[in-house]
Order: sequence, then structure tokens, then C-alpha cells
Amino acid sequence: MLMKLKNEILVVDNIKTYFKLDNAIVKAVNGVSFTLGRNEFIGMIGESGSGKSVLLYTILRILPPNAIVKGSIIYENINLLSIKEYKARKIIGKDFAYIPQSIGQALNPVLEVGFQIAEKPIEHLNYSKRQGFKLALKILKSLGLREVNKTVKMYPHELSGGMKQRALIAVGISIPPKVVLADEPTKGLDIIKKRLVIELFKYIRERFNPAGIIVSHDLSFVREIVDKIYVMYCGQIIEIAPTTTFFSKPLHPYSQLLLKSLPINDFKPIPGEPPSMINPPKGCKFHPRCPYANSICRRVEPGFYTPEHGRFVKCHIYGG
Amino acid sequence: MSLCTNYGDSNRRSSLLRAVGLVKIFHHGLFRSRKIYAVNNVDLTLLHGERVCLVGESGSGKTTLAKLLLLILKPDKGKVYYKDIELTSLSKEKLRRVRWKLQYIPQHPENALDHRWKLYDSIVEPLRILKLTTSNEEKRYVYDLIGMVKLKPEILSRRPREVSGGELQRAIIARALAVKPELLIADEPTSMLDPSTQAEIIHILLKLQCRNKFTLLFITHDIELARHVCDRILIMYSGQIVEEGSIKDVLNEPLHPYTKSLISVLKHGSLIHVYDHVEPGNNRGCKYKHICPYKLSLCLQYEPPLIRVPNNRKVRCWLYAHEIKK
Repeated sequence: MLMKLKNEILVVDNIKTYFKLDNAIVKAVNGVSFTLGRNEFIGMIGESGSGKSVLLYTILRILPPNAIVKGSIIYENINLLSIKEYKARKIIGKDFAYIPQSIGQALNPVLEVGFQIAEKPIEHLNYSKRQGFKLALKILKSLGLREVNKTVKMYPHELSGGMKQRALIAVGISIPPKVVLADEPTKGLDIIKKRLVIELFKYIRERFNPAGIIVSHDLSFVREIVDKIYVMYCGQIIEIAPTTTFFSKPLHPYSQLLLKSLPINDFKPIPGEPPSMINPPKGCKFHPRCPYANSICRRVEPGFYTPEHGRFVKCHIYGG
Repeated sequence: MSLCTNYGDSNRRSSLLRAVGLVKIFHHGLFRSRKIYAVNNVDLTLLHGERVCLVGESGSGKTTLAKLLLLILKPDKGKVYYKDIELTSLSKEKLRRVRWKLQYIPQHPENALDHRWKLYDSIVEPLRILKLTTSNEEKRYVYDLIGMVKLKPEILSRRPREVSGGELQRAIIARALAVKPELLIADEPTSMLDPSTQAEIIHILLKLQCRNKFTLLFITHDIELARHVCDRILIMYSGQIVEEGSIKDVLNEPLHPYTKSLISVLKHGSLIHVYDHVEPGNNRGCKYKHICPYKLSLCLQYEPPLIRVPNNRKVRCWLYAHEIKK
């Protein structure tokens, strides 16, 4: 069953990603559905272990072999999960840009930077090596690097942190991307480097106008780039809100507590512990830590409610 | 955060750790021909029981400075004093007898402990080496410790890769505090953790600091976080301490142009800095001269000293040269 997609570039429907261990099943992503509009950037936020990164890996089909995936991901009328891996790789490799976390380890230490940038066009667009290097030169120049002729011949260890960051982004955009997927691009970076990443993302948006999913727990970073915030908790999306209203008025109790834990606000930790992904709590997944939990929360899992236009929240408080 | 306020008059308290003129040079390139001044002439005093933050961008030499203070790295020049003992001239054997009073929490918790050891063994190792407890009391002591950092006992029988980042970081704090240190240097202990876990770890750390009254040197690049943690702040740039003062003063009224740009990024989100960290051709003059918007001709020629300004503050900038004459 394929629908005609006009405004959406990616439709994710009821994705369940489980990892099979020796004697247990870890439910990392447990029924996530959303649509990504063309040119729309969304930010997936949530604490570590909430399944944000696994969701990205599911979309990119780079999961380890013990993963079981159910559901569908439809991109340009093709279900990326049902086609063969080599076919999926051709589509994903060409149209999706993946920007990984930890800039230190993401580049190949024994290949020239220019070649790593050129690799994608060589693989997917039949570029020659020389054409690829020329393209790398052009991209690095457009990202504001000086002395690009030298830089393309350098190895990652010869670059400074800021240069590495831009090289990584250059790898992502060597073919103009349709969808940008970034996995915590600011983890462990200082405030000035973070600024640089924000500028680079804004540049990508202006230049190529792609859609994007940014997974991060750095809220100050996310709020500057994305249009919509998706809050993930225990493998599920529990709140969807436009960026502007989310930060002024978060609806879900978890979102409220998460914002309060920032150093810029109250700096209070969320009470309790993250739930087990093997045996998630019954009813609402957040009820053991929720200050407003009552008996219905313990028994019945809430559906999505729409208390305001354009906002969705998975919480009984808004059920009326 | 008002967990405890023990700081009225910091002048009267005695110094715990003092560094004078620390220099560390790293050589790299062909035949070690190129030099990097990772730490360049740093003077620093840490008082008993105070909380100090060391803030700077990555590559400014924060971690190297921490390692020099603990003699994990040997400084090329300069001296480190612990109370009245000069650590830099001690033999290895004697150093070992003193240094356990100074503990360190590294930035990456996942690499800090032995991967094959259970957490219990890792936490108990310093106690066994220093013979601080008898084997009968050992278990109870460890349970007390992990209670302090709010860890559950069943975690002790797991290995580092089987626990979450937050739990691991708490185990590392427990291990560092097991020997009751007088100084704890925490090197960006939360930069890899999510905001809720970060808040929890910092709360635990500060609570323990209040109870045990050790000196805390907290290294971070997040000024917003520093505001919650410390009373005194040191700003580092390019291997030097460029500004020193109480956190309130520095945040409200930054003096050094670099601190000003840092705080304006924080408040207004504007990027004053240029991206490329160009190595200056000559090493003369102020380290900040090629970015500084207020530079004078003096800055290109001579390196500014750390100038004392009112309110017990110091700044390394020629703009405040008039304060010297006073």
C-alpha cells in the first residue's frame, strides 16, 4: 500500500526496533510514527537510552544483525525497510546525509580528507577521482576554510577540531542531500564550536533546503535550528510541538521536568530512574517518575491528545 | 544553588595547592620540529575547601593544566606545591606517598576504569593499595560510599560496559572519594551526559564537597554550568589564564576581551570569534591579538602580565595597564 506523497518526504509508520539478547528483548524503539515534511527540520530530544539514536539507525538501515525491525519507512514511494539492502543503500547513500557524533573518530584516519569527501560522488554519481577532489575543494571553500588546496591533501589528525567538523559536514553534503540526519552533532563541544555547528546547519538549510532530523539532548542547540520538537521517552514519542511554543510552554510532565533540569533554568534533576527497556512500565511509561500520576496512568497507556492547534501530547492530563 | 555557603573571607584561608610558572611544551611534526605551548606560564593557587572552575574552549590547555597539577604529566618549567611540599622535585616513591590526597575524575567515564574488572574491584582498588581499611570493613565501607553517590548495590557486580554513562560516572566519583582526598579535579565530568543526569551528578558532587570539605577544581567549557558549581572562576585561553575572579563579577562584568566574547555568545548568541584558529606567525605579544577587537600597538609587541584589578580580580590584558601603577 503506497500513498502519493506531496508535502511529506519521509513517512515513518509504527516503527518497532527490538534487539534480541541471550535471554531478553530490548525494546529500543516501541511504536514510533511521524511524517517529515519537505524542507522541515525536526529535533528529537530525550535522555540517553530513550531510543533516539536507534531510530536514526533504523532509518539509515545501519543496525547490528541482532535487531528486529517492524513497521515501514516510506521515502519517495519506496518502503526502505522492505527492499533489499543493496538497493536501500543506493537510495540512502545518495539522498541522505548522515552527520555522526564524536567528530574525533568519525573520519577515517588513513585516508586523505579530500578523498573522504569525494567518496560519495565517486560511488553514486560516477565521478572520477580528480573530479571528486575538485568538488571537495569547492565544498570546503564554501564552508569557509582557508588554504583548501592544502587541506584536501591532509589526513584527519592534521586538522584542528573546527576544521574536522567542517570536513565531516562536507562529507555529508558532497551530494546535495534531500534528508539530513544528525546524531548529537554538538556532544562534548564547547560553546564556540557549538556556534560553528549552528552556523553550518543554517548554511546547509539555506543552500540545499533539505529536510532533517536532528537527534540531540542539547536543547539550546536544537532550538536554534529546528521547526518542530519531538520528545522521546522510553522508545516512544510523547510530545510534538513547534519549537517556539515548546520552550515557553512544554505540556508533557516529562518535558517540563527536562527543561527544568537545564543549568540555565532550575538545574533540578528528574526524580527517579530511566525505565527498563526490557520490561517497560505498564500504562504510561513515565508514571513511576511523574508528579501528577494517578491510578489511570498506571493502567492505561494514553493516546495522543491535541490540547492546542499543532500540538500533540501523550498524557492523560490533557484527555479531558 | 544554595547547598552550602562556607565562603565568607577566602583571603584568610591557607593555600592547598600552588603552581608557579607552569609551562608544558608539546613537540610534534618531523623531527619534533614544531612546538605547541599547551600550558604557558600559569600561576595558580587553590585554597582549602573552595570550589573553583576552570573554563576555556577545547584546546586551550585545561586538561593539560589539570594533569600538570597532579604531576600526571611532568612540567617543562615551573613548580607545584602541595601545602609546603614541592611536588615537582619529589622522587617517584615519595610522590606516591603524597599524591593520593589529590584525585582526578577524567572526562570520558567509559575509558576510566578497567573494562574487565567489576565495579566493586575498581572502587576498592585504591583502598587496598593504600591499606586504608581492613578486609572485614571493606565491604561496608564500599556500600557506604556508593550510598553517598546514590548507586544501587547490584551495580557493583557489573562491568563498565554494562552500566549507563551516569552510573559509571557516579562509580568513578565514589572511587575518587574513597581515599578521602583533599583536592578533587573533575575534568568535564558531565560533558557526555544528558541534562537530567548532568544535574544529578553535579548535585551529588556538590553535596559531597559540602560534607567532606575537599577543594574542588571543576573543569568545564560551559559557563552556565560553572555558575551553579563554583565561587571562583579561572578563564583560560591558549595555554594561559587570562582572567580570574569571583563568578558573579566575571559574569556580570567581564574584563578580558575573550571573556567578553564568550559571555556575549552565551547571552545574545552572537559569534564574535572567527572560526579558524590560525597559528600566529610570531609568538610575540598577546596570544589573543589576532582576534581581539580592542588591540593596541602594545599588544603586538609585548605579552601582558596578569594584572591585579580591584575586587580581588586579575586580568591578562594591556587595556588595564593603568591598574599597574596604582
